[in-house]
Amino acid sequence: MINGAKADLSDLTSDATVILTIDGNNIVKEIQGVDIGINAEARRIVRGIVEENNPNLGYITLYNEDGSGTGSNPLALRTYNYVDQSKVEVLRNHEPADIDSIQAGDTAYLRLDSDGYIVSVSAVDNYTVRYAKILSKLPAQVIVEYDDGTQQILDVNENIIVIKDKNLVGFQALRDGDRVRLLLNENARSTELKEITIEGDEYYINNIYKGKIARIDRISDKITVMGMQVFKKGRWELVDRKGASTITMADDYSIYLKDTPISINDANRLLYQNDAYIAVERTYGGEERAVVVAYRNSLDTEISSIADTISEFVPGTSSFRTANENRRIGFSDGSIIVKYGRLVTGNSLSYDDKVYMTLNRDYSSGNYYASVVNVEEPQNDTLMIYRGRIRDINQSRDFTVESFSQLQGLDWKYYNTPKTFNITFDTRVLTDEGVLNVREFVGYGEESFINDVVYIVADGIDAVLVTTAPYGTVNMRGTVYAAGDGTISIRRVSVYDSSDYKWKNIADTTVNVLNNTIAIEKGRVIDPSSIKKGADIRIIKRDRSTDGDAYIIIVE
Amino acid sequence: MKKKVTALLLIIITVFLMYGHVFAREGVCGYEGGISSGEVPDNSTFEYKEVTFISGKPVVFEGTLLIKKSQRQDKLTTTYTYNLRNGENTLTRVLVYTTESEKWENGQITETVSLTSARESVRIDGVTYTIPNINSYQFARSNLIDPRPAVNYHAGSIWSRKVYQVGAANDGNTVTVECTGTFYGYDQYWGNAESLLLDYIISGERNTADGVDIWGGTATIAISSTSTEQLEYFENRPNQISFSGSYVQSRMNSNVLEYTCMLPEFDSRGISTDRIVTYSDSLAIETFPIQRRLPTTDLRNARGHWAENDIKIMFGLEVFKGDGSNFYPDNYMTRAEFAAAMTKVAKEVPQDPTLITRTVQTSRRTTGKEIIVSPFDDVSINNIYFNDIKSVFERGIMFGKGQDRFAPNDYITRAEATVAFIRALGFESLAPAPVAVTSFRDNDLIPEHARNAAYVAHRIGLIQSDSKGNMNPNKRLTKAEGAAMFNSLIKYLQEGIRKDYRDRLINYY
Repeated sequence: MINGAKADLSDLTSDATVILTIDGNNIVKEIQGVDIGINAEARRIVRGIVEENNPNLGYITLYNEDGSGTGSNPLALRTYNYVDQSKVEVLRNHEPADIDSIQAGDTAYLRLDSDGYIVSVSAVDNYTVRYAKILSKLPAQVIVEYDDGTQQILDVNENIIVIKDKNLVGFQALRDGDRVRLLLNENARSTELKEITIEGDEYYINNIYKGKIARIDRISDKITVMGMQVFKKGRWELVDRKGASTITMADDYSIYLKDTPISINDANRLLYQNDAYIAVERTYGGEERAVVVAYRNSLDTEISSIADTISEFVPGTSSFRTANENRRIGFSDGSIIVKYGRLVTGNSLSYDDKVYMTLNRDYSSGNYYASVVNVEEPQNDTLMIYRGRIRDINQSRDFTVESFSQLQGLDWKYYNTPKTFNITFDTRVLTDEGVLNVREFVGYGEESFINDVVYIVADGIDAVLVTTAPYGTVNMRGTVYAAGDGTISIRRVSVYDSSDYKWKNIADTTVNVLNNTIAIEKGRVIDPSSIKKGADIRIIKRDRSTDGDAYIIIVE
Repeated sequence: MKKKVTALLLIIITVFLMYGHVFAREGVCGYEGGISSGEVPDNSTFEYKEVTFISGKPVVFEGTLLIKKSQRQDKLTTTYTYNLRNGENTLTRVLVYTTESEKWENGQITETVSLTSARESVRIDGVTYTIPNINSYQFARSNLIDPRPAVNYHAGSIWSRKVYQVGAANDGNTVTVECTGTFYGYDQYWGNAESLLLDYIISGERNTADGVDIWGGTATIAISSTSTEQLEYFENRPNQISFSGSYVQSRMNSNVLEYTCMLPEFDSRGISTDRIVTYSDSLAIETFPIQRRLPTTDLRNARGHWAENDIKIMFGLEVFKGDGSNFYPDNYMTRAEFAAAMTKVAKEVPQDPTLITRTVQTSRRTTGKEIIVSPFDDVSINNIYFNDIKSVFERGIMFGKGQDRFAPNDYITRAEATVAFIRALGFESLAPAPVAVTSFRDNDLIPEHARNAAYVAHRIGLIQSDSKGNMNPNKRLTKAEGAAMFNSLIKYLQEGIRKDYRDRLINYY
């Protein structure tokens, strides 16, 4: 009976509300339809989590409304068909979409017609956010490690969105060791990667130190290191602080004795004043925190620190060879390997990587192994330095020099041809007084720059820096031992003699840094005041004297 | 004789000076783009650092921030007093906010904050920037607080506009700083956090010999202020000592700030140029940790057990009661025992200690003893677990099993425990609708009412599957398993949730 009238079984619709009369043998004797105030239209709306959407065969399957249905019985699920997918109205995340945008794991509402076919779908995603570190980036996959230590392999397709510094970047921007935020579609069937956001450089490895560890204090979470040295370009250099230094432990840290993880208790108990290498990350407020402490076996010998290029990986082993070293060099979990600022494993090293390494030799086997490997970011060498006489200026647009010299290596090469440089928002003009407003870099009036000879530091044809510093031809090299108050002092000084192509030693030198001195480091223009003690620099100046002005400083 | 009993009723907001409570600390860094050392007991003056951009370059000031709060009915008055320096540069500021709250039927509270008084004076490189009065500072802040059984969450937004007078008033030089931002936070017994994400537009106008120099820049500041507790076990060195070791509870405040700004470069005459310079840096203030040793008990029956450390922590924190000699880790845990432990782990949110007390005298005539009624037919008011059961019930953490029964002696299952955890955290809404489908292999065995909780608990890392991918929802919890689950919840409350309000928010902003 339905609505008081006799009816047939076929008159029942799905999701109808009925009263069943059942006998003692559990057989239905009578079915009475009940109108409980839900209209027929509403009765034909079903909802649930999508188990599968198959546009090719034209159906959507939902898990049961109570969340069950992951068992092996397919009949436990609710499957709804659609005849013509182009006629199905689809909204996904409240935007019009195609039927194939409905994904497993979505929460979906389906409106059915009187025959039970889908006429409309509205769905929202249930993506999850998880945080991980990239262990390995493969051509179409990434291997990630989550905060709880579990690892997962995720497929990457061409539609993946990759974001860095609030910009859309390609998958190629992702590097081993990057910390990432992942947007995943996790459902009972599979996990699909939708979006990757790359964290900035907040947790990059800032420095690698070595020294003798007196203690790892569990109350203060600090390591006390005696005789600390810092790894710079393949050399160990003394830090400013003498005697004992302390480094705070990071929240997540690892301690190794060669290649074996050990506890703090064991380290304190068994390895007092043992040599160790420490990788530190930069954290808020400029502080450094230790992420890896790798003790060296006291019987092993530290051989050397070298700069080389990886030429070959030895198959089946965790080792490689370099171009200039005729030995196989091993690595392990206890090796501190940093690539482009990120802490990685040896598997992230590549053929042709230029490495700075510290080598040790195993006492018992005689094998060589790398305790520290550092691969620095390749330098951006697109900046060129020119010098020319200004012929014409289009205010705030461009300027032209009638001929120019280009600094190539140690010499200026002359080109008797005009060259035009663009003036961009990044162009900086320095005169004797300091910064000049680019809008005042003009070719008319009393302050005209026409016929002035200037240096131009350019990236392609974009002028990055224009300065009125005087012409210099003498190249001088040295290591900074003092910098400040407008001067830089260098030791181990040598001057290039272009007559016999030799570098010749001279005494320690102190040069003045002018308001319009050019300073370049790692392919970027920098402020000369940022040049620190210990930096190796090349200066271009007027003469070979041990004083005078620095016109160009290049940090090597 | 008629007894007139006039009771003097003191409404006291109690300042918890006992260690172990981490206090409600919304607004402890102020809303001026700085960080403070946060709250320690009995202290309302904090170490403070702030970055300002009004001079055209970021300048970091350090000094003290004094916060005074007083509450009268639904109005809260908060005064922030700043005294900061950077070498010869100085910054002084006094701001008075009034907060009006409204409590809604669903328990949520909305706050509307207005600025009732503002005075600021900044001196940088000999130039003075002044906010003389409230007319130069427009401010709006609103906040929604969602109190949950064990955690109060809040989220709000800010919009402000300050017009600094540069130099003398009749010079006509100004710097305008417009700020919009959002903030999020939580308060709970084991730790609290507040994060602010602020976006600034800074514009300056200065009369020069060549005309008016107009410049503009932007800045972004991400601030995270967190207070957390950690537990670490220290073994005693002597062999001949009555206890082998104990846990140490450490509490500290950690506040960090990251800023990035893009400001025009100024030429040698101080006139702005077209070149934009990007500055970025970070600041941090960490308080010296306060430590407390936890009591220890003889747990020989658990020695070597896989959950021995979890059990030690539970006894140290007095989540499990007793002297330990009668503790058998593989005994099942009853619902009543679970409720008692839950009240210790999912404690109520402590009150804000910086609120100044106001005493109100009322008279009340008492006519007799208050009658205590048990909410469940099978839990007598004389039951040793009565107060705990009543507490978890009234706070919405655990409910009965139908027909006014709590079934205190029934054994608690893994699913029931998971539901209680998620209710305590207030995370029921994180599950997909209508009912979540978990990725556990035994998903279909999870009771329907527990499936959402299981989904959320798995997602936030509170529970894991076993080696076969099962949750085992209907498995009765042993005391050892209960200890492990409670420790997992405490760790989440101490550290897990904190990550979402600190590194993850700042580093991906």
